[in-house]
Amino acid sequence: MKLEELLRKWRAEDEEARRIRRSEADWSFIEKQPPRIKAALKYYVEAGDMWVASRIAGLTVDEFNELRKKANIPVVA
Amino acid sequence: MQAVVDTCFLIDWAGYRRRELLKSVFNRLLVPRQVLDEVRSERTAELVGQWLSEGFLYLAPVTRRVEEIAEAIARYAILNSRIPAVEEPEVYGLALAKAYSMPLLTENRGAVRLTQLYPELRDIRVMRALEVLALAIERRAIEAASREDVEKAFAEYIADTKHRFPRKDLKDTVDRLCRVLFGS
Repeated sequence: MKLEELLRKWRAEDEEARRIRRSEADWSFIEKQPPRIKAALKYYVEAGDMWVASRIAGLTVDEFNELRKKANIPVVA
Repeated sequence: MQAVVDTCFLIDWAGYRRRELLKSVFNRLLVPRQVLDEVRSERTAELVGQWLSEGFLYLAPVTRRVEEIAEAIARYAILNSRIPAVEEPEVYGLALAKAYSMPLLTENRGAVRLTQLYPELRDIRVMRALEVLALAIERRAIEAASREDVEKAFAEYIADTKHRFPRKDLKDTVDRLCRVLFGS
């Protein structure tokens, strides 16, 4: 697959994943969280990167994953 | 078959009701130390402790060769802004998979995309939960007598882990399994 084609495919995948995370997230739960946790959950909704989100939250990936489930944000992969 | 497992896959899989199923697909899983640093919840810690004591999970030593491969992979990831971030646990996961010619179990898009982008990494077989479940169904580790059973197997994982498979990937996988298993 050519590079441009691959990049188009990735962009489409990213957009689909972001749309799913945004639509399924429990926004009222997210908004009630302390600032650092809220920022991390919002970052995860947009970027889907759990490791970075866990660093923003100051948690391990495992701890952040439990929070992600409570916020009803799906992993899309 | 042995495989390398990374953080996101292991943590996600720990929440699956049939998590022991992994043993019907792989003989042993290699795990980089960086992955264990991310384990904290009781459920995942219990699973990791059990699997380590059974020898199913193996804390892989990072040799000089693995370090060299990890450094090259990190360089690819740093220099290419068009792929999603690949962090330390995934870099070591990819390096171990490359060094020992084993599949890498990961949900990290950056890791998947690095193997699609760089010819030097194309020989690494990356498996997400979708592919692992498909392999388990194909090997009859999960009983499936109909398309509904196949779909139910994926639905269970989705329900347990709050994981969504990309629509097209899931449909293609279910279609392929139905052709292989039922000829339809």
